[in-house]
Amino acid sequence: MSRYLTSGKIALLALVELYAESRFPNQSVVPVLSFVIRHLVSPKENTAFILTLEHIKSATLHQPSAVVGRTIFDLLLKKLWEINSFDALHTFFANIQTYLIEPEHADKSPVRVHGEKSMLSRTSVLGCFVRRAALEYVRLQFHDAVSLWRSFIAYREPTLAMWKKRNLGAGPMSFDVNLKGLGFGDGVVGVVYGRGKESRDCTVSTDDVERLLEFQVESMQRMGTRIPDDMQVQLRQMLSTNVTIPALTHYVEFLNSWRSGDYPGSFDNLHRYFDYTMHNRDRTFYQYALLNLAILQADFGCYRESILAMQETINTARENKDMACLNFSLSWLYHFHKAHPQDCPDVISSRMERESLQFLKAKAKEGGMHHLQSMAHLSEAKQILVGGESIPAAFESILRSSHLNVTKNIHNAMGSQILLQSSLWSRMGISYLSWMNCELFLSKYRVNSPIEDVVKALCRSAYITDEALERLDQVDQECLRTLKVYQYWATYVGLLKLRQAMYKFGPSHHTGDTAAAELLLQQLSASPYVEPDCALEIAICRLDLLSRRGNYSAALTAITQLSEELVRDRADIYHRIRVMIIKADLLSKCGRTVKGLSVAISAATIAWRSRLLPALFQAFRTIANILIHMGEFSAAYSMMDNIMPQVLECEDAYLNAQCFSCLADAQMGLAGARKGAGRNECLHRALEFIDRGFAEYSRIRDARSQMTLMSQKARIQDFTGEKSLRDDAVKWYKQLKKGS
Amino acid sequence: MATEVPDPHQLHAALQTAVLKCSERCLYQAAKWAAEALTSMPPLVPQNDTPLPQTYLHPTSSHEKEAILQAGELPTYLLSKSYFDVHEYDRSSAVLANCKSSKSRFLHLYAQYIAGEKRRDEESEMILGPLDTAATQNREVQSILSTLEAIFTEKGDNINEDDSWLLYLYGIVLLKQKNEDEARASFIKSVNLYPYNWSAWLELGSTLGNLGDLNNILQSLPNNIMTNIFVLYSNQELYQTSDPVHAQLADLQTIFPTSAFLKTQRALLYYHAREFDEAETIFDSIVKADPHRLDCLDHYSNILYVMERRPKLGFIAQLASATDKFRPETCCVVGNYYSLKSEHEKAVMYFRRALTLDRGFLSAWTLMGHEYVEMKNTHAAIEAYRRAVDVNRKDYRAWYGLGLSYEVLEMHYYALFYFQRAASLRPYDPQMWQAMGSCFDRMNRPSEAIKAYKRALISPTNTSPDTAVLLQIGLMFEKLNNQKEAARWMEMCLKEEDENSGVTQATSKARMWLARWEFVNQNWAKAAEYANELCQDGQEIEEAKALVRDLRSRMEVGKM
Repeated sequence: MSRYLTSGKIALLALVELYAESRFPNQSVVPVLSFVIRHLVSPKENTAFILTLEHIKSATLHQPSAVVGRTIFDLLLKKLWEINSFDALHTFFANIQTYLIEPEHADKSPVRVHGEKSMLSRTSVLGCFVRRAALEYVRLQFHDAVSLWRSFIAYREPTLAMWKKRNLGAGPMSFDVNLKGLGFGDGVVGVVYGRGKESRDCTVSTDDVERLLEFQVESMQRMGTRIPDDMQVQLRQMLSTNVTIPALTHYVEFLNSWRSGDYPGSFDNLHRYFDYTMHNRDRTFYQYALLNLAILQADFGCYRESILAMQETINTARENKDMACLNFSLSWLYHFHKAHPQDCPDVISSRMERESLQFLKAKAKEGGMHHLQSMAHLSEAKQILVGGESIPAAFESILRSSHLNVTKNIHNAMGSQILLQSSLWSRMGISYLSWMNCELFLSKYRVNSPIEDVVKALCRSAYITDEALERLDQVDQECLRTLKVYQYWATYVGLLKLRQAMYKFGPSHHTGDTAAAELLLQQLSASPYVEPDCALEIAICRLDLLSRRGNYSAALTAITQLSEELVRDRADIYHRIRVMIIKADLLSKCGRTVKGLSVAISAATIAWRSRLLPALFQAFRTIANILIHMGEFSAAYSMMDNIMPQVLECEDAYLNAQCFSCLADAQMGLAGARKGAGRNECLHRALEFIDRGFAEYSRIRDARSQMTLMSQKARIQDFTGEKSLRDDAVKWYKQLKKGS
Repeated sequence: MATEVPDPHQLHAALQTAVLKCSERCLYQAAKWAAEALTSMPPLVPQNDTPLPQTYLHPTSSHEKEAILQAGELPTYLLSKSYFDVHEYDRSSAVLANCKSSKSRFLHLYAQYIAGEKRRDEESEMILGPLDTAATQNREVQSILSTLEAIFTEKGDNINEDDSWLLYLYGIVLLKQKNEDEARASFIKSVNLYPYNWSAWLELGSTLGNLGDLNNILQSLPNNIMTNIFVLYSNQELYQTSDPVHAQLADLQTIFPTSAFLKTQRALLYYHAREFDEAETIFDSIVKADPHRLDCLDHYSNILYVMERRPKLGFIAQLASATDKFRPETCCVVGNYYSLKSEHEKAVMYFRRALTLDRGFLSAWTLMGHEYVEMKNTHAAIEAYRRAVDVNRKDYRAWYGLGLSYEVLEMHYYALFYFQRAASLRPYDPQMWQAMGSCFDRMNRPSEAIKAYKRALISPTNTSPDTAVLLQIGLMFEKLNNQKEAARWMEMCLKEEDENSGVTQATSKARMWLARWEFVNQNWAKAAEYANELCQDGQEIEEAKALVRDLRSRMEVGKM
């Protein structure tokens, strides 16, 4: 009903009046006034949505007042109970304005003299509050004022017992002086106050509701979360009082259905919101409506539609000279183009190439849009990385962005920046730093960042560490309420499970746990909207699975197609190198070693140029393997031996294991060429490498590779004649076979 | 006038029938009134020999021919009435177009009339808006009138009880055409044929402009208890608060002991006599007995307004608003409340709402005029008062308000006319005469002013004369260059001060005048006495001190 006034605000007004009457002794002024101001200025930071008398009581009960023996709460009670009729409430509101300094006397600085009535300046916080409250009261229609009065009675009712202590005459009917001599049974009382006194009309005002909705919008829009179900029910109950609900509620509904993946619902609500706001904001907000639509379309995978809507947004924003909207749309379009190049019409692609980042950066700087500028720097860094260009330049861009974030206090850009840095470290093969970055983000910036970034960081750090699945399970279920985030998380979980399934040794010797792996793979590739990096991981897993099953021809076709797609999309150089290496591996396995060698070497060259060290080492490992195939054991060994320290630094268990087995193979080859002690030395070295490789494989629980290593070991032991050790190895082998 | 107490059983039956008859003719207010009267009688002692009450659902006509007609048309009639009940007036009227019985004809025409009223309301512009004139008319009136005239000529003198309703409607349409005398005759015929239609009585009352009119028609009214009630009501409306009226009311209350209507009449009588405490007590008891009753609550709010009982007025406003926000009475109460809190814009808003709900709601027009006066919007005030007077010519407050507004505009000749109208309605109200006196004064007609002021001194309630009036009379005589007479009145004024009123501005002025007069007559001692008294009184000190100084110097000169 009421726009602003509630019973709680009346109580606050009464406190202000007491203060203006100089009823607070000096030591109580600060605590009580800061309580009042906290509720006026930053109500969002208070835990309680509705200010009850209990809160006020706890804040004022122990504050002595200027009257000896009375606390401020006693005085407040007196003041509140003196409002003993609707007319008294009216008078209260008229009276409170007399504490304001008249504008014509405003130049005289008010001097507070203790014990005297102290005036409130019209522009002070309290003065504004008093003025607003008085104005809002004047605006009220009669029946609205009456319902405020009734809710005030209900609000005050719990303190009757306390009031009675000081004032013996008070009775159950003393809430209205006009009811003197009447009882609850009288018809008059029934008509005026209702039998059950059930009214809770004005416990919340439109102002409060707006605050509530803004909070929801903020948490959903900025942080990307959804509100838990039970809280949603509660909020809906709060809104179901008959206050005028601002149109913002439709926006909340829209965000909610968007996050929950309800496509028609979100459209419906977005249109409803803009329909209702049309009449007071006119066409000026049209571009924002379009912007929302475009993002919404993109989120649900309607890329064409989305592009069209965004173009319209840009045009409208240009027309209205809304630079903020324009820059945001351009930046969004740029990112969209990067993410989905195949869906962009040529016009946009070409324009994006030409104008792109420089333009955005300049514009953002011009308009003072620091968030956008920081994001543009990050995009630049990303572009450098994707193109495999200079690493220092990338660092510079990241630093610029970080500088902006720190100096301009942009909390929610922190996530993207740290994540990018972490991925930069991991590309350079410094896993530890990469992991630490993720951890840093999670422990320090989690609260203020969009939930999407948090989940990404969690997934990434989980991918690096050993106990990945456990970590992922720790993700707060509240976060996963948003569909997109949930999909991302689910994809990661699926990938990890797929890996595990592939590494397991299946019932038949060659296939591994293929049935489970196939199923998972199917599930993963069924989901249409996956991030590009996840999509690549899935594709690589499929190739791995194919090659593990020995279906090399299918694998080759698949990899050719994949690399073509990557080239077409101008994908990340790192991804392309990885695919090249896998291709080289495949080729060597198929016996086309020379071709494999050339692919591997070119991959290594590119990797070196872009300083993608893990990829480089992978390429070297492939080259070494091919060399071993070609019988160049010493060359292979010395090459691997040289890079081994750096490989170990990468802390990539899979890479380590592969390198160790490669080294073992090289030693075996060398052993074949030597005799006597030399041979034995080589064999023992090979055994050592096998053990280390085995340890690495066990870290990632790759049972199949472990078995291969064990069988190798058994054969070497057999050759050297150490029966007991050989039996041990065989036992291990059997155990592994059983264990899976 | 009927004086004998009617048999309660007969009255009971008659009222019961009246309720049914009125409500089946869609005269809802009359039915409500009759039903209230019925229940306010003491319950009857059931007699063994009387059969259980017959079904009154459709009280048949006592005339055989009419009864037969009615029986034949019953289905159509029921259809028409059900249309009327859902506010489809045109349809309701059309259904009965070819009916012959008086009852059907009445509903046919009455529905047509109501449809016309509805259209008129819809066509009217916003209250007091630029296009809002009182001129919007009910366009059905003419055709109803001619139809009715045709019916009456067809019937000739052969009219009976069933035709009373048609006569009532005839009166209404005549009244709409400002044909008051014929309308009154028609209403008198109607109530003679069937006295229990309260609406007809009300309309009859509205044609009475003054007490003379009432006395003229008394002879032609039926010998019935209803006549007594009507006479009482008219006396109240004409501000007659004499003891016989109270006695008559007391008689009626023995028949209808719990009637809220009669109680309200009593309260209004007290209100007109400015005995607010009694009026308030009565209204209090009414509110307590029936908190949902909104009738006449606007008068109650006027009483509380005059008494400045803010909390109580706020409470009554709350009560009314809890029952029905959109009743003109409620809006008036709320408007009065805001007016008392000096929030005149809001008050006007609520009065406007009241008028939107019912354009004929008299109190709202007058009160709106008062608000406009407070807001210094004299022209709007004049229009509002004018509309009030057009609605009901017996509202002295509106006449008085018109006079005051014209006085503000310094159009005294105009103002005088309105004060005269007000004074003719309230011949014993000194306020009216005083206003008239000051008007004459402004127009430089002191002798008339003196007459008016002297009339103001005659007040039935207040025995001691008002000092301000005495002063004014004195000043008027001064204007007539009759200084001696003036001095006499001034002295009367001072005497009044000693006896009753104490020092007021008027007496100080009178004393000052006297001091000067004695000064002029060179009665130094007397003048000094007055001047010194003035210095003690604390009013007009500066002038008095100057006079004292002057006197001293002169007296010293005289001594030398």
